[in-house]
Amino acid sequence: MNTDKTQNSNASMHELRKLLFEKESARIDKLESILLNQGLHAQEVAKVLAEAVELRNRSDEELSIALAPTIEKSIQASIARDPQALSNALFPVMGPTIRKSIASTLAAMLQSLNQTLEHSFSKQGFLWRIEAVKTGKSFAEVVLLNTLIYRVEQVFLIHRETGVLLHHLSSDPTHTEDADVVSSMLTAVQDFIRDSFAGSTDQNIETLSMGDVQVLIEQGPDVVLAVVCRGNSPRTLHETMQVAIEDIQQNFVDELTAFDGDTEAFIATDEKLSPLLIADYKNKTEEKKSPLKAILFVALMFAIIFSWWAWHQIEISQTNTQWQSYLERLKAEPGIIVTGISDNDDVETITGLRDPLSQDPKALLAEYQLQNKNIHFEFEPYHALQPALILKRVSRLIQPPKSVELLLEDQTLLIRGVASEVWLTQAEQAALYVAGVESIDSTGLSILSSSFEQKQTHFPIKMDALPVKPKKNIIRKEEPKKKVVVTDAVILQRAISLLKPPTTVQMVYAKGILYVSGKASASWIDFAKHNFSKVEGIDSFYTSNLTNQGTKP
Amino acid sequence: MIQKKICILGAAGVGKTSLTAQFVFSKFSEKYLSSMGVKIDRKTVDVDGKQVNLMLWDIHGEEKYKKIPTSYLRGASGIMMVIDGTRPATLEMAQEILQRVETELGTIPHIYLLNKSDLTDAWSINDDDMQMLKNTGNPVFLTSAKTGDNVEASFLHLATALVTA
Repeated sequence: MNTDKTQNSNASMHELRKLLFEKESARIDKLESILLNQGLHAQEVAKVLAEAVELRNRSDEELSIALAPTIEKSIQASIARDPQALSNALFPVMGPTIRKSIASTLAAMLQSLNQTLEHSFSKQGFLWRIEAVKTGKSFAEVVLLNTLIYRVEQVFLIHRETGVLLHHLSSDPTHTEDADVVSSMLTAVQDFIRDSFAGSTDQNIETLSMGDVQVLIEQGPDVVLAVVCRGNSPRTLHETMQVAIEDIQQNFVDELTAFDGDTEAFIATDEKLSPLLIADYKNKTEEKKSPLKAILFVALMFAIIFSWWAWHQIEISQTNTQWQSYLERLKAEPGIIVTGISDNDDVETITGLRDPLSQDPKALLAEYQLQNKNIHFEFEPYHALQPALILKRVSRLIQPPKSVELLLEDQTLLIRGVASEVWLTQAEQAALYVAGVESIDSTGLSILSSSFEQKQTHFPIKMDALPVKPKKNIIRKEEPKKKVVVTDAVILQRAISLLKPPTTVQMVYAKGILYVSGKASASWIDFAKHNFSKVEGIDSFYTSNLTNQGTKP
Repeated sequence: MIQKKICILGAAGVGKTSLTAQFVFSKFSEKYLSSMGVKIDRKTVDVDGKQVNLMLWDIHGEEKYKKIPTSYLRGASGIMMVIDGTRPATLEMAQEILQRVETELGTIPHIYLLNKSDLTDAWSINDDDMQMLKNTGNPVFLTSAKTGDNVEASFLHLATALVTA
């Protein structure tokens, strides 16, 4: 019973709630669906995101700080994915920046070059060079000492109370690594000197000096400005520093008051401090003239270098031409075969084969003006079968008398002229040992009678030392031809050879008579009269036209 | 870049210079200590992703007739007070120095380094002294310049405290 009552009551309540809150219930369901739908969230946030970012940026910098890591990671991811996209986006910014930086560096280099050239090649520069040698200093150092009035090399902006370096500038951008330590030490040094000697915090150190380097110090209420200066700084530099301090104190009052060690804000002092990095040189008016002199000198140097280079090239070209001609000649030379030419460490090596009787390659070098060239010859010996060399070899072996001519035709040695029987016999035997001589033809040779054989040169070949005679062809005249008819010319020649007349004497032979005319000494005439009969074929000696010119031969 | 001036103080011979040498590579030689009474080094540390430049002023040890010049302490963000754990007298001297600094320059955040912790046999600082130091509310580190124990940790602790303060 009770259960039925409760069920009826719940149903009634449900009915009642439905009647009273049906519309509200539907709205709650709708709101719930909006809240649970993530897609609808994004749409709603997107509608107000830009306004929200702008509003937050106006109030503080928390959003920038919060977004920084995300943006950094996004950039890293973008570069990792496609570096070209970011590179393209930055190109319009990076290009001008890089150009400006390069132009600035080049300008500084040119200025330095102009100054160096001016001082290097002027009369004054020459004297300074001597001074540099005498004192053992570098030339640049001497130039600097003589031309520099002063130069500010470093500027330190220091927080007065803590000694912390707020900003630093240097004429040499690479010389900045320990500036913060130096800044603190500079503060400590001031404290030390003040504690040791001054005794009052109102008194300040204005200058620290060592050699030609000075540290000029100016104090402000919150900052200390120190400049490192080389040379003799003008008093006005202190005033310039004071103006810079006042400017910084005025423009950075909030940053200095709230200073807690963060030096980021003081990078902006750069424009106020950079005018302090100044230098003053002597002879400024002369410097303006210097580029012309320098340019002329450089042009002259270039001209000299170019001339030397051109001359060197011509010389190389000539040498190459001569070298090629020499090689052509060597290749064409009988008895020389060039198999290789190599160039190693300026040494030319020619390899090949060479007949010992051929032309000496070294002797040819002078002909091509290559005596000074470093050439190394590596020739293996061989016997060349070219006719000229075969004849040479035969001549060396059989040593023919002057009245004999040797020729080679189709491997046949032709012997022409006049010679003795003994010589011919030995020559025929020996010549056949020479490679390239297959047969001998001496049909063109006249054999002297036995009385003349004794006057022939002794044949030098030791026939016993020769091996067995090779079987080769020897063509000789028939035996009757052994008795030869001696011509008038031969008889005259023999007479001249025997009597050796002076140049003032003329001799003619005809029909057994030797006609002698001209001038001769009495002794020669006497000698001729006693010896003319030794020449076969001369029966009488006719001297009617011969004049005695005295006893001198 | 954030820069903080830190002074390293203590009686003579407590190991201040050795502690600094453990932590940094020095540019200036120790002759500055004997001549000027101070040697300055730099160490860059990373605190929560920020680079912090610690300018470490190693000031000569306090002796009876050679007081630490307070001008060197002006502008310091923090002090590392070094005590020799084998010499209780250096603890008293540390308290004297801190008192004088407070009188002349006001309160400067500081930590205590009980140095020479490797010399366990000669250790002379008792628990009461340790507790007394801890009761000041300033951190206390047992360090050894010889072994390097706790040296970097103590410097980093002070740097973090100064940056996050």
